[in-house]
Amino acid sequence: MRYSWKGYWGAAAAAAGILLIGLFVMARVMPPGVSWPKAIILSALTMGCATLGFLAYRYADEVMLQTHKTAWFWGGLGAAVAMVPAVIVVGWHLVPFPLLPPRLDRPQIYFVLGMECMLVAQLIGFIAVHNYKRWLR
Amino acid sequence: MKNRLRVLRAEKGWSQAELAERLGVARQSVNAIETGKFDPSLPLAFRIARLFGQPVEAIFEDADDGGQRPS
Repeated sequence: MRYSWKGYWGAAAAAAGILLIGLFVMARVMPPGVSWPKAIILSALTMGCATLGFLAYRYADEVMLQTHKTAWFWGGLGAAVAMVPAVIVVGWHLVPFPLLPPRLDRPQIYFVLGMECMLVAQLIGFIAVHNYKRWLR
Repeated sequence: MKNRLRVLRAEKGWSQAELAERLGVARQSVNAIETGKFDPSLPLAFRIARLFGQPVEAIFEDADDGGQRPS
């Protein structure tokens, strides 16, 4: 495993760029609501970003890789557990989900949003643990 | 695990970036090893040892053995 700054950050930047472009197209170009094209784009975005993420890891050194593994484990696991109460109360409509327009308040949207929110929460957990290990420990 | 990496690097007059380049790791990783935040794998520890021309146990010291080394 040979560290390469260009390789690592290039793949990471490509993943972020593809994700942003895909989300922009889905939000601004395509009609609102659920559809096959949106499902395919969302799935492809997830797979594509994950593939580029694994590619980036090929250029990371062992310290970076181990820090990432620890951060994914503790941050991702912690966020997933912490999300359970939120998913229950929002899914059962005990509290409204403030970001969701009323026309999108449908079970299908809730399913995808719940999954995406879980991924975002895991990402936040990862960033928190990663920065703790890198700067504060 | 304690180590003498910072001292050995200073003796050679290398910066963290130079050492990182020679080891094929990121500069931040050299810093993490020097400050004891991260224990390197055996392959990396042997690479470090080869680079400085010393045995691994002369560079890395197990915190649990009370500083005693085999004779």
